[in-house]
This record gives sequence, structure tokens and C-alpha cells, in this order.
Amino acid sequence: MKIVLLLIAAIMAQAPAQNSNAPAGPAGPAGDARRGEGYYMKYGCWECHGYTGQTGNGARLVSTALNANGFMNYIRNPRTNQMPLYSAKVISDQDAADLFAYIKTFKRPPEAKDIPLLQQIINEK
Amino acid sequence: MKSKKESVNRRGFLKGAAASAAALVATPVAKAQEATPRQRPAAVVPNEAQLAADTGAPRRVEVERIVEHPGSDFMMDVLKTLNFEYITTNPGSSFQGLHESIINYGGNKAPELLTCCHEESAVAMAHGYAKIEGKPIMALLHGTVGTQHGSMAIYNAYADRVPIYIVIGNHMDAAVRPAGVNWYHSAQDMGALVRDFTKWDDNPASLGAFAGSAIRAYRLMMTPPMGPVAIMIDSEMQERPMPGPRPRIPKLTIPSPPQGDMAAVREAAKMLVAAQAPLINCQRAARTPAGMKLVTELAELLQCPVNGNGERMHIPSRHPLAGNGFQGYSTDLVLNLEVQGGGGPPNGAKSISISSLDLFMKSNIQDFQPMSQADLPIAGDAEATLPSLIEEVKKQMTADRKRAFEERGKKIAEAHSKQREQAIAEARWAWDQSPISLARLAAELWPLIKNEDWSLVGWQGFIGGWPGRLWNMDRHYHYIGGQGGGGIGYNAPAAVGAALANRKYGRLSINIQTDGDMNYAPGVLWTAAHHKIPLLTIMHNNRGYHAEVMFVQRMAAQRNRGVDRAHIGTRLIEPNINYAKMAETYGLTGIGPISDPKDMAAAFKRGIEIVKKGEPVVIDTITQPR
Repeated sequence: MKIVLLLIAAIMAQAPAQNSNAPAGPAGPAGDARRGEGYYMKYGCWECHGYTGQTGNGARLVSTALNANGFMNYIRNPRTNQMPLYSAKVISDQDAADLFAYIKTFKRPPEAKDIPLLQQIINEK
Repeated sequence: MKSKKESVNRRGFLKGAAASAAALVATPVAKAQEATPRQRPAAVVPNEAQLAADTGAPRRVEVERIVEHPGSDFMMDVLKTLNFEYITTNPGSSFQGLHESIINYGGNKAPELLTCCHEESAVAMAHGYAKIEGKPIMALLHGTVGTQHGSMAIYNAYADRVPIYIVIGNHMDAAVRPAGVNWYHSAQDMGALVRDFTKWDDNPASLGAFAGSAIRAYRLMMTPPMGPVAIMIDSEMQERPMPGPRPRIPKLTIPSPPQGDMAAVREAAKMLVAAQAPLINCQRAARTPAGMKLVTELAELLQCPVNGNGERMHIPSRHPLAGNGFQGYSTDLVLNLEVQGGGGPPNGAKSISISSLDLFMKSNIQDFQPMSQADLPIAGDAEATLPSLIEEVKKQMTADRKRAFEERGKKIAEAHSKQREQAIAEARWAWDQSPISLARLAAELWPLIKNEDWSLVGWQGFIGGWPGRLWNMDRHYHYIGGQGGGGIGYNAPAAVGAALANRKYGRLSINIQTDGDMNYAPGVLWTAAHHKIPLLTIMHNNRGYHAEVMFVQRMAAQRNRGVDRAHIGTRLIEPNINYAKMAETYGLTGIGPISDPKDMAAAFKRGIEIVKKGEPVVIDTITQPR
């Protein structure tokens, strides 16, 4: 199970064919992060990805390399059965764009080397 | 001297209770009669003979109504030979005879009666206790209703192969059974309620038969694969005087656990020595403290990885051989030790299974899992078989193979060190976020307990396994696994039972407790307070049955509808539950709620100080979902 989840995380984090350096496809609607914050809760993204996209069983959204199109493609056709499929009927293109805009506002945590407590545990034998 | 007010309390209470009951039952009628003046019931006037008897010289006690040597005293004598430290119970009329014998005839010592607020708590406490102590305590259940309350916890213990000695009251004789509630609480075949998930049950018809059944039940329970047993005790047999001569109490001896056949053990050793990349896979192999040492010894001999601290401790968490090996470690032989079913080994690999489950299995409930695909299945208790296997591996190991093992071990150790560092670094995610991440919760707790003799008494499956990743677990009591049968409601009472077992060793018991599980039977907090069981409970309060939130979400998405409604029926919100206040209500110290990660360390320190004084504490932390 853990291996599967790590795999999902890896796919979401790397997604080489759809990363932000990939050639841009037809542009989708512009996203509104403020609306996206509400949708993140409403559509249950928090359930698997945590309240800030960093915890839970799902991929770490805070470090996603997907661009807006990639995100849209992913939620419409997830590469894994662990991630539910969201059609345009249940999450419209506009709502998805808003969600993505909100996800991009997530801030990464400090590195482990900058957290003394974790360094202390790492250095224990 | 009692005040007048106090002295009439009981009478006043009864009067009030009667009035309240009457009001409840008769409200509509009472309303209809409001206009009618109330009349006090007339006292019954005694006749002359009664008056003479009541006002004459004091009569002698009706000796024939006193039972000085009831059957339940003999039952107590039998139970005393089994050396139970405790009996957990929620009171019930079907065992009131034995109840009285425990507290008076038995002096309420060895065993001591522990008051529980639910039979599920009574059984689950015994479950947690046995996993720490390696021996059972007794759970005393009321007939029919109490047994059904306790049945979920019995099933968990059965699936977890944990011994619990269960005694169940019954009003067997319908000829003397008072009409009414006792009929609801009686059964022809009480054992049938739990027969699918007990190793053995019996319904002895005499005290002599009880003595034999009681000892036999203990023996069967403690012979691997271990599991709960149930003995029914008739209320009349408990309450009537001892009939005739005192029955003999058989001597208790425990059979030696079944070892695997030596020819098969030699073949297993041959396969392990020849393998290029063996893996030891454990589920419930370590049933005593010796189990962990034996698994570790075998792994060190072979220099191969050990996977499986999920249900019991099998190898220290920071041991270089803990885990699955290194990237590219292409397992060619899996040794499964007490692994219940499971899939086959990795592609092309062979497997050996050593398990006592091939010796005992029941049909109805499917806890036995898919049949394991072992190339060499050995029927026998893994822990009992390991010493022979270790000796055989030593005999068959050549100098060349030993050098190869050492090379293998070096690579595994290097990988383990890197994997450990990476796993700890993962704890940084959501480090400063509120609600609190479970990784940070475990990280903040570790420096405060690492120099204590600590014991994690709750399951870490719902908390991301963070204690196992961050803490140094190297004792059998550092972790005791989970429910067994996946029945929620296990964790809070099992933690209290495990903490009870830890108490006499002065260990600091810690439970990171999910909110959904706590709400099944939170009265166990009162039991911990009342019996002064020191336990630090830290709530993983994600305000819901979170696995089910995700399941319903996935189902809605799959059906293309209602993806914003998964919270219905799954979340514990509106109102939020305050577990610090809940704890205080039950007489514990409650701390929190805490939602800022920076506030955790101070709260944990305070909680640990109180627990070290011998009291239970609950700290409510508002957490990320997982």
C-alpha cells in the first residue's frame, strides 16, 4: 500500500510529459485562488492531500510539477485508481482552474536540515 | 455523624426514582386526572397474627436462607489456580454470585475486579493487557446482552491470536428463572454467540465439570495459535450451596508449543543458506519477548532484511536489517513467519511458511485470508520453531556463504541508513501547519520520552506509522500492533489494558488515539481514572472516520455525482468534540484542544509529568486528516 502511494506521489510530483517546462497546449480558463480555496474543501481535495497539500495518502500537491493543463488532464484521467476521476460534470473547467490556482499558492515547508528537531533524530543512532 | 438529610438519602432516592418512573410511564393518564384530588395510598393494616409477630421478641435469623458456602466460592478457588491478575467486567445479574465471591471470598486480590463501562471495553482491555504481558486476564460478561456487547472485541482478539479468558453468566434453569428480563438475558447455547471466533467454549453442568472446563480452556487458549476461550456459568450453580464433597481441581499444565517437523526445518535452512536475496516476513511471529530476539538472531545470521513490525515487534526499528533491503534487492526466497495468508512471493521467488494457523482454523468468518502459496509450508509455531531453524542454518553455513552474507549485510545496512534519513526528512512536510501534522506530533513527543522506559500502546496504522519511522523501537513492548480483526473501538480500551500491564513495571504508556475509535466507548477513560492506570493519550483528532470520508469521496467521483457530499455520515463535526473536556468529565486531566504545533511540546511535558505520578491524561490535538 505504502509503495503504491509513494508511486502516486512520484507520478504527481514528476509527470515529465506534463511539467511546467512542457510546450503549452490551448490555454484553459484563468484560475482564481480565492475561489479555489473554497473548492479545495468543498470537493474534498483535503481528504487525501491534507489541508495544505502536504500530508495524507495522496500526492503532495505542494510540490507538483504539473501546469494548469496537466492538472486538468490529471483530475479528468488520473493515472492511478487511488485518485478518483473528476469529470467536468462534477468539477467544471473553471472550478478546476480555480483549484489549481489555489494549489499553486501552497508554500513548501523548511528543509529537514533547517529543522533542528529532525536533525537531532537523524543524528541519533 | 450522618446528617438527617444524608440518613434519608436512600429512601428519598427510591421515592424520587419511583415518582420519576411513574411520571414517565403515566404522563398522559396523569394529565387526564389533574382535576382529580390526589389520594395517598392507604397503608396495609396487618392482621393480628402479623402484628404479634412483628412486635414480639426479636426472631432468630432464618438460617436456612443464608448460603455460607455457595458454588461460586468454589469457582473462585478454581479461578485462583489460574493466576489471573485482574478480571475486567461490566456488572450483570447472571454472574452476581461469582461477582460477590470475587470481591468478598476472594478478597478482590489476584484477581482484582476492574469496573468497565462497556463489555467491549472489558474484553479489549484484556486484549491489550495480554499483548504486553504475554499472559491473559479474565473478562466476565453478562449473558446474551453483555456477550453481544463484548463480541466485537472477542473477534478482534481471535483474529489477532491473543488469549483472553472469558466467563459468561447464564440463567440456565427455566424452571426457576424469574419471568421478565432474565429470560431476555438467557440462552440455550450461549457459546453459539461467540463460537465462530473463540478457540473453545463450554457450558459445564456441575461444579466438578466447571473445574475441568476451566483448566482445559486455559490450556487450549495458551497453545498456539492462541485465542480467546469462553466458559458459561449458570446463575443457580453460582448461588446454590456447594453440593456434596468438594470436586477436585485438575492441575494446570500448558502443553509445549508445536514445533515444525525437523526434516522440513533442515530443508528450510538449506534453502535460506543457498538463497541470494532472502527476506524474512513476519506478522505475529513474536508472541513473547523471546520472539523478537530470535527473529533478529536469524536475520543477523543470514544478513537478510526483516519486514514486519506491523503487528508485533520483530526487529528493532533502527536495526540495519530492518526493512526490505536495498533498491534492486531482488528477493528470491521469502520466509513467512506466522503470516496470515497474503499473496505469493515476488516474481519467481520461492517461499517458506512457518505457521501454527495450519493446525487450527474455523470456517465461517474469513479471517484466514487467501491461502498462502508456500513452496515449503511448515505447520508449527514460528517462535517455537526458530531455535531449531537457527541451529540448522549455523550447521549448514559454509565459510564462503558466510562471506557472501556479510557482503549482502553491508549493502543492506548502507541502504537502511539512507532510507532512515529520508524517512525522517519526510517529517518536514506541513511542519509548521495547523492543523498539526502527525509527523510533527510524533517528532515533538520523541525527545520527551526517549530517556524513559516507554511503551506505545496504540495502533500506528491511522497515524502514518510515524512513531515507527522516528522513534527507536527496540523492546517488545515498544509496539503491540493493532485490532487484529480491523474492528474500530479496539484502540482506546486496549491501550488502557496495555497500560495496566505496563503499570507494575513503571513504564510510560503512550497512546496516539484516533477520535472515531475513542467515541465507541469513551467510558474506558473513567476506568483508567478510577483504577489509577497511568496513560498518556494524545488525540489524533481529525474530526471524522477519515478512511470512510475518502471511500465515499471515491465512490461519488466514480458515479459522477455529489463529490461535495462525502462528509455526510462520515465526519464528526457540528458540533466538534472537545476531548479535553470529555476527559475532565471522566475524572482525568484534560489538556487542549491544541491546534498550533508550537504549543505541543509544553502540553506533552505537562502530560508526561502527570502520568509519571500515576494518573491518566488526555491531550486533544487537532490534526491533519492523515
